[in-house]
Amino acid sequence: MVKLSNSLKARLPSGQEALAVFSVIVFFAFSWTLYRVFWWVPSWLEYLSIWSVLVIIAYVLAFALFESLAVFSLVVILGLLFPQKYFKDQFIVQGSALSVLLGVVAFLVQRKVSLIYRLELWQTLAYPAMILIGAIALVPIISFVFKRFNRLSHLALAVAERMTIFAYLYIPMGLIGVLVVIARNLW
Amino acid sequence: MKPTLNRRDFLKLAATASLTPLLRALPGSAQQQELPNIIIILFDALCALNLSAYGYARQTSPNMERFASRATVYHNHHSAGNFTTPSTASLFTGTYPWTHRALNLSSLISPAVRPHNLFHLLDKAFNQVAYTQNVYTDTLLYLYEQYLDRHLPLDSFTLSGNVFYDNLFPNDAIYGLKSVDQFLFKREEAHGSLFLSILNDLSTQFTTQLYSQRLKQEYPNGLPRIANTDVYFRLDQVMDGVMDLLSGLTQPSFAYVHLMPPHAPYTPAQPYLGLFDDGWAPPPKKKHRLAAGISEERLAELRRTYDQFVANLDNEFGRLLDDMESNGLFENSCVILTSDHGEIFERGAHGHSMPLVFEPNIRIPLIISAPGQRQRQDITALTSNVDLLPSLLQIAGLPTPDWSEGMALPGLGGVQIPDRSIYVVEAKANPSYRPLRKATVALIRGKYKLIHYLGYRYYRDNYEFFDLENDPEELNNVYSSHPAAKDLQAELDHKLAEVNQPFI
Repeated sequence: MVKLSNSLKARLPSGQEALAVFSVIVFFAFSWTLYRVFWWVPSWLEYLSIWSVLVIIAYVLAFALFESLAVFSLVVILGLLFPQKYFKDQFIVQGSALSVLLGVVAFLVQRKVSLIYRLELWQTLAYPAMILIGAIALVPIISFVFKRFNRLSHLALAVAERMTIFAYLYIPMGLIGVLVVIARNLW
Repeated sequence: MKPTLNRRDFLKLAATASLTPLLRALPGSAQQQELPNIIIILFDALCALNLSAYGYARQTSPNMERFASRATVYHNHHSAGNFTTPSTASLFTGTYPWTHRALNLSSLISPAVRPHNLFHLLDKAFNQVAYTQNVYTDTLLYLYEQYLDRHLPLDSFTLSGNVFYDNLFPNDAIYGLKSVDQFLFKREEAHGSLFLSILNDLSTQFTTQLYSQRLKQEYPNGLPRIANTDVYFRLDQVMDGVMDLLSGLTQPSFAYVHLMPPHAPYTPAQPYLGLFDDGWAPPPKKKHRLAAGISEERLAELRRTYDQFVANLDNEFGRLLDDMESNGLFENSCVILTSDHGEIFERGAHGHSMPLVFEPNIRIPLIISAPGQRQRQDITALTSNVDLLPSLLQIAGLPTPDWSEGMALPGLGGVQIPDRSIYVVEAKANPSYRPLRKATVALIRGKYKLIHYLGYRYYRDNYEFFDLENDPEELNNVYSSHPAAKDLQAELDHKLAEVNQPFI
């Protein structure tokens, strides 16, 4: 039991690794949400006060933070499932690459989201299962490719590092949103 | 100089002075000590012109006819708007959309008008219960949360799917709705949430498909769904829930029950699918320039499915009537059957939320049964849903507030005014707090109806005028030739200038 616990702990990312990957996820989640907000704001302003619009934005930013944490948890869980050399040793590269892929898939799905409402029962289970299996299958492939091509690995690290700039902007925005939501629902 | 007693004041005075037989029949009116229950049952998008209770060619509503046989039937009742938000806001506030400003689909009632509402006025005298399946009405009800003793969540009595705002943010439901349900997880449109909204869609679709397969025999056209949500329900289960709700009322209660059927999607249960295969169709009408251009064949098909759904609803309403009768609710309650707006299947147009305000869009049923009423009474006077607020106040023995733009209904303390003017306002493309520049506004006075289209591209500042008595189907626009048209135009222009003034 202790051995298992130690083994799992060893597969957890360090703070710096976690921040880098979390930043990539935050970038996708917040950028998309803000893009949609800007798309909607002119409509909201037709019938809501600026104050009301700000409250809505606080809610959606709080949610974007929650969503980022949820996706990050999925990446960490994948890291726990795989042998250390496939994931933990390249956590930033693996986590960032998976996050980017998930983000791109989600972006493409959002463009045709109404199709989900036409899925048959089996498809509602099969498609997410395929994506999950695909993500799991990608881990060793990513590991191989990034080990084989060092430049790609450097590129992934550089991108993740630059994403932390957005994280320093987006995470406080999300936290302010959380405070607003808590305050409005308590009182 | 402003007259001390204007026309509206005179009408209100006349209304309170003449208590009609129906009002006298109310055991709970001001004349007696105990107030009756007031129960409003509102079916969304129920057009009076599609009800056999109102003379429709198809037998869509035998149970509503049964209800009408012991009630007062208003034959010329109109909604103040042609979709839910403005029309229910008018019902709650007794004001027209240009006053309460809930002009758009997701609008709220303006802060200035918010304190002026039915729930506030009835608060001290009644236990107040509200349940709506319409998400936009639910938003308005949350404005009045402090007056409600019981406010049932939108997804009560339903099968699958859920709404987040009711469950996660009960203390801040309006913003929960606007941010989570209507943005982050907005249905059938790119969502505000990138990742989790997709999981939510998949899980919703999974449960929906599960129930659809399980209930395919009963609902071959699909399960009834609360429009603009992913919440599915069985009509009979919802009606069972309403029966439980009403049987548990403590007198005196004011209950507002607003059910989604027969609003689209039209999903009648299996026994109703074979109905009305009769080839019947109303007179064909020329396509309107502001309509979507749907073919006559498609409109006939949609109308038939709608009529089937109405018949399905009527059957459930019959069960509710039986239950209320067995509980003795008719003896101590004023029961009101109405709708928020109509539904149109003509001129190339289908639905209700559009720039058109022809009669099918705005003619709604209003049938009121006073406590212990046994005889039918028919009222042909022109009435509007802004009249419900003053009428219910009459029942409660309360005066009509001077801010109300309605007047007590004939039969409920009001008088019939032959040349009364009522208005219909459709302005969903107009910003809420700006003058009405893009809108359709109708004035109905006596037998005449004038429609003014403002600001639409290719149909800017057009007028249409109809003589409803001689041309009830609104086939002949006689704006340019009828002598009364200019008179109504002057009145409407004057009214528009007046209501726009505070926003210029």
